[in-house]
Amino acid sequence: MIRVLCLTAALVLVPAAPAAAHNVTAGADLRIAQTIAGAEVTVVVKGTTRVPGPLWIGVVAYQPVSGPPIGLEVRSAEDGHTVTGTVRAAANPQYARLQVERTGPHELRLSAGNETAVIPFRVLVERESAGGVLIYGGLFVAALLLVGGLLTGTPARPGRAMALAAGAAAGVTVAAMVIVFESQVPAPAPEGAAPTSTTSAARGRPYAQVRAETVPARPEAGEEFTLRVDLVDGSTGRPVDDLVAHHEALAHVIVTSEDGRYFRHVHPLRTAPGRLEVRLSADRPGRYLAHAELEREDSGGQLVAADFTVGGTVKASATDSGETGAPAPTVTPRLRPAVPVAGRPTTIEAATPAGVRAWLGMTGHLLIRSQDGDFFGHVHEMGAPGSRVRFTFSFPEPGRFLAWVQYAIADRIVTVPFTVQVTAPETR
Amino acid sequence: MIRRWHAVAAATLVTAAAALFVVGGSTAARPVSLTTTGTRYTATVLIADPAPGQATVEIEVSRGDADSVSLSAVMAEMGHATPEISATEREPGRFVAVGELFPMNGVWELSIRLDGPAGEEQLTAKTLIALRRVRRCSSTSTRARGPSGSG
Repeated sequence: MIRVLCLTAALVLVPAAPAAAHNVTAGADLRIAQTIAGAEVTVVVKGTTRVPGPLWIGVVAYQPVSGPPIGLEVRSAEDGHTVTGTVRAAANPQYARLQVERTGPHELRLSAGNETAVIPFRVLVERESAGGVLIYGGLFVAALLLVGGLLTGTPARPGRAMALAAGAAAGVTVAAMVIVFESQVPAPAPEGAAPTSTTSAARGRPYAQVRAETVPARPEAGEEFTLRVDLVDGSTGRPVDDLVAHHEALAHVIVTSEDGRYFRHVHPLRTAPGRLEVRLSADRPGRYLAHAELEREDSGGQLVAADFTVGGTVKASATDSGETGAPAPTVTPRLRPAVPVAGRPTTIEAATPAGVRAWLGMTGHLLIRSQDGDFFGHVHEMGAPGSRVRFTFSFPEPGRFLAWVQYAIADRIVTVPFTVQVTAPETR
Repeated sequence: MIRRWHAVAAATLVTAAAALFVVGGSTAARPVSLTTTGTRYTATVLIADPAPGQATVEIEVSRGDADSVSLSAVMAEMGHATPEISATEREPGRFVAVGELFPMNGVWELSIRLDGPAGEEQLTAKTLIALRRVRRCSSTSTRARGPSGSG
């Protein structure tokens, strides 16, 4: 009977679990990679255990960042309360302390130069669990009744003794049941969490359509331009503004020239609902491809692609991999088997210098594009021991693939470009 | 004696049920009240009965001089969108919209489009529309577009 009652209660009273999108809680930092002020940085927002309370915000730099400090503004979307600060991007940054007055939806506005990003997030504060109070309360009541009863001589009177036993039993039962069933009753949603449905069977959200353009519409080689990506919900036509931090970014955008000599892995800024923008410049005219990896809330990852054209003439200072500092190492990654076979796993291993830092949550990234640009892949490092990065990938079809291994060291992101010729499996 | 043990068992059950009730949280049905602030307006949305079907939504504009307020809703999970409903201004700063805003239960994102001398702005707020009695609510981000179309 008790078991049935408890299970029924547990099923009826299941509280909503918080959505995982852009929540800032104590112990669970929000990390969002951004390409701002011409550099790759990751914004880290550390959660608070209480409100009013401090949010610590830092900007981790993976490339040298010049110019004035980055401006921070945190605004509550409920009451509009705004606090501001500044922070300097560095490999091991100092964190700025911004006081938040309440939980719930907020916006973080980042400003560097004439670029601004607006990152929506939620401040969550864990609620006290009622379980602990009930366990200790139940045991305390039971102990009080038993000890008190014994001291006052209650056991000598059968009626009072029974009432005493009933009270003590109730206290112990409450404590025991909470201990047994607490794990089955989900923790209450943190304060400030977005509403979630517990009854809906739907999983996933409609696909996002991409509308990409450059500003100006026809950029010239050597000239800075903005790549603008507008995301539209395929079912409602509304802007898609529910991107979650997917491998520490709202979107990973890989821009390559048609011939593969130009490569940028960037993280655009959210400038408006459903709108992502990133500043780029290309030194050669021609057609460029943009592949964007993103993930909507409660959904899986999604790849969207677009292309644009750069006009003008070749500029002398062409840099292909978008690096600053020392030139890229020329070591070609080792492949096993040496000639990959379509449909079978291939291991790709590249030697790295000492001191590789995790970037986008991983030690290394392998980006793969088919020659024609129709196929795109993003592989993560497998945790190889020693100074190397290792990836395993099954090339889907025979042909020539363009590939780039990326990893971060102290002051820069290293990109190692190479090509892979994939053969067809032997026909028997 | 047996009756007494029944009493003990009953008392234990009632206490345990009360304990689980507390652990699970209150199930009291309550109206939804969401406040959301943009750059021009602050609006508080009140939904007395947040259940599927015909909904009456009251919007109180506490900051900014809004001439018109329109509501529409999207259920992102299912890809549903509802037509925009114009709210009627009952008294200065207090608007009421009546219509089929939430055809089914689930989490709905309400878009509140306000227009006035300060310009147009769209605020959004998320709410749970539930057949069941457990409800939660909160509000989310804002979107602004100035009279000149900037932002």
